[in-house]
Amino acid sequence: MSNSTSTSTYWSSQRIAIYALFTTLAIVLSFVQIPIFPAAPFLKYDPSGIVVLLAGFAYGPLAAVIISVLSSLPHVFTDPFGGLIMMLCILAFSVPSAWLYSKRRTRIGAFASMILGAVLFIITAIGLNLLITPFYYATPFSAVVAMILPILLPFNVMKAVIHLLITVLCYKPITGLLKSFSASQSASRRV
Amino acid sequence: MSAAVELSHVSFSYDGERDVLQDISLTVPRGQWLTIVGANGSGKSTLSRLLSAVSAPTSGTLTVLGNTLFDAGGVHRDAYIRARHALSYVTQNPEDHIVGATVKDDVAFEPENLGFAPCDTASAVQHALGQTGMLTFSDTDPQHLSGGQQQRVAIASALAASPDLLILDEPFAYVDVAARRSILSSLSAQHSRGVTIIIITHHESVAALGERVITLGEGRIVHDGKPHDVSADESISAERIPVPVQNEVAQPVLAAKNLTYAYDGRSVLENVNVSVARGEFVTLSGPNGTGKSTLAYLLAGAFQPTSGSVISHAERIGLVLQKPEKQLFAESVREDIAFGPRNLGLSADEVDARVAQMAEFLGITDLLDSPVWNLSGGQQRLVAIAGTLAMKPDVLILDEPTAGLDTHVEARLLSVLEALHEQGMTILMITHSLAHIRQLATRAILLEPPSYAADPSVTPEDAVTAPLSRFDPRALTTVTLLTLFTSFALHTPAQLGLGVLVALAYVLLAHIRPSELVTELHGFWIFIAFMGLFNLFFVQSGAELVQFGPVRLTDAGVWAGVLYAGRFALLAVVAVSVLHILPPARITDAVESLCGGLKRLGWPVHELSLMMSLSLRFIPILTRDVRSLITAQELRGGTIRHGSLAVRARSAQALIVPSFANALRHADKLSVALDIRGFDSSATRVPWRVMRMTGRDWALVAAFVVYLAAVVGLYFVSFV
Repeated sequence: MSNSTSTSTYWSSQRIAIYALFTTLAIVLSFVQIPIFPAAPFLKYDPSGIVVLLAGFAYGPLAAVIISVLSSLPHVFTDPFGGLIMMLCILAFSVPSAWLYSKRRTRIGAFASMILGAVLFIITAIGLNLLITPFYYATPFSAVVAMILPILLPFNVMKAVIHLLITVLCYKPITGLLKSFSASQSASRRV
Repeated sequence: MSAAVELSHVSFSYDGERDVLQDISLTVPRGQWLTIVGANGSGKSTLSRLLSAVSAPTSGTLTVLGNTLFDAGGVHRDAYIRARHALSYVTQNPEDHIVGATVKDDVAFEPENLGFAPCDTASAVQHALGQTGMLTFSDTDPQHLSGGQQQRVAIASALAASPDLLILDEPFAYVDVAARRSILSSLSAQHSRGVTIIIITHHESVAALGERVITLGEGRIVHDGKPHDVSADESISAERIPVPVQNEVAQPVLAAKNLTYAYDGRSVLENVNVSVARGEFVTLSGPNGTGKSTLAYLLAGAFQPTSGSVISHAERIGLVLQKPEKQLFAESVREDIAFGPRNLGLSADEVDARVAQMAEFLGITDLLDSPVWNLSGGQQRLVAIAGTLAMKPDVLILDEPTAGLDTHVEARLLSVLEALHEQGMTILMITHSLAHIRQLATRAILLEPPSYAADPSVTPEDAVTAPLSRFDPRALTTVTLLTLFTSFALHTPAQLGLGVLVALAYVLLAHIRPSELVTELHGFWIFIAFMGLFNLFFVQSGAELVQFGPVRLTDAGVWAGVLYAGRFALLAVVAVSVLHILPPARITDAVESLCGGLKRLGWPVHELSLMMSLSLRFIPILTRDVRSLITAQELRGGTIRHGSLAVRARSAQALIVPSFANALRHADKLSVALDIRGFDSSATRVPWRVMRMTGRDWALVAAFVVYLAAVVGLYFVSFV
């Protein structure tokens, strides 16, 4: 957000309020848990990654880092390992993507960065699932590895695809609002 | 000494073309009580943002409390920060000011930011709450207060840091007469101490309180002089009301019978009996927090009562919520008014006719094609009311419809209501104004405050709040997190038994009642059960216990089921117990303090922690906004909660943009509040809740070390 009248530091009150707002949206959506994969009803889809990615596109990779971490913290308190995994997955999904987009702010750049985010997300999710499943289920490591192809891969691909579809749908109206919002803020000459 | 405020040839323009403020020169000496009046759109709000060091003018010189904020050299940011530290500004929307998780934490925010010593903050909080009559609510979550009570909290927060200049925008809009009197007396006390007071208002009666009145018109000062003497006593009591004052009538069209409504375990209404007969114009008044707004929701069928009933013979009830402009959701005025009639299944021609008729009736025809977002507050109010009237209700309920409107729009709205009543509409209107009751009512209802408010020894919190943790939040947070992680190391029955003991200890420490524990755990049951069952059937090693068909249970499977479900049950019990005595805001404080070392490495620890606590505060605000948007759509025949998935998806999609726009507006107002309330990165904040490790905290840490040692010990024992 550029502000014509202010020479403020990075941590302006506007920035804090707006990141807090995105964090709230991500927290609220992270508690919406929908089973999308009939073969594995215990794997739930939550839409919070979309909010973080949108924030990352609008405000850059640092915003994505902050909002990913803050919005997963409530989960760390009720499900420590699950919360950490969630944090790492959202980071993998949003941060490199937001970074790439900040370098190339074009339509192609947007698509490339979303694909990058999706691929990194899938790899991270599967890798961490291998590590974490033994904490939740009395299964040997080999059984989890056997789950990759039939369950973990298709579930995470589905999740990434849904994320990207909704992001594409919401990107225009949301960034439009954000733009008119920061325009109105600079018009009101906030210091 | 310099003047409190000095403007010299100040102009302001949003678009660079039209000046909202034109060449204003104004000097306010220190210690003056000034009132600024003017219609909607006269530039009052813009001027108040300049005076309170929020915005910069386009040209001219602006000096506040001796700090030159803006001159030919442009913006002086340091001067802005100094000026903000010495002034307080209360805007029209108190809920957007609230930062703290409890009333007293909110009032403490500015003193903390300005670096007051903890004991000074505590006495400032005590004093400010006493002056505004909010002491009994000091431990309440501000979100649970009524609009008028939140306004009083905002004023208490403004007084807490002893400002030299106090700027209040329409401070009495939602406040009852008793609160108004107590706020006025605290303002007088401030004034006699030499504090400069500037009140921005629509109302002449408020102007009468001060020493000087400035009238703004089209961005210029059109009058500057002494106030007229309007010594009106506005207090509402039965003797002063010319019409009958009674709660019930025979043959009602709408009646509440023994109505009780509780929210979050707190009763908002207790055994209320009110009724309205066809053709009446009934006003409903009562002190802040008596549940008037809740009653309106219940009567309109938007809320379900906890007990008692609402009996309605109305064909259609229209409900105009408090600040209904917040529930506008369509893009243009025409679309928003048309939403209800269209949901009634009317033809396109009929819908157009109704929209045109309502717009004409309310005098907003020329606005029909404008986007809703660009209208002034008063215009938005009229659009929202038109949207409800377009449904042609036979009973209309309005919740403080004129609050915050200028006298001109207010008069227009009141005459519209009078005309509707003459046409036979039954009207129930919530109001704090004696003048409205005298002008419009055929009968008045005065609600009594709920029983707890009458008894000063009982605060409403007593019933619902458990004793807060007396542990240092840092110790409790760290030990709890480590305990949660340790649960995953439990493998043997003895270890699991030990875990159960630890969870039990948490339950006892938290004083959480078993019934509360069960309710708070509701989100976890399915997950725990799934964990157990999955492992029960998945693990096939060990000796077989039962086999029928493809299902085979083994002893190892049973143990795996118990162990994995048990671990998660322990996790859930520990987390729920701790959250019961340690609110998220204090966990955030603890984490900030624990990460204090990172601050020296240049990490923005305080900013992140503030962001976290603000985002937790946003959760109820945003969910309530979305819920009232949905309610507003439903009252006008919208279908978010019903219908096919496609229909609901479309309705949900229609909600995304207005919800997000609302959320952005909250964020904007919140950022103004943060600036005004002394938040800036350079300031050194001193938290008023002192964290100190005491004997009990070290005992807690020691208990955890013993637990960990026992778990590790049992691990080796299992190999012996």
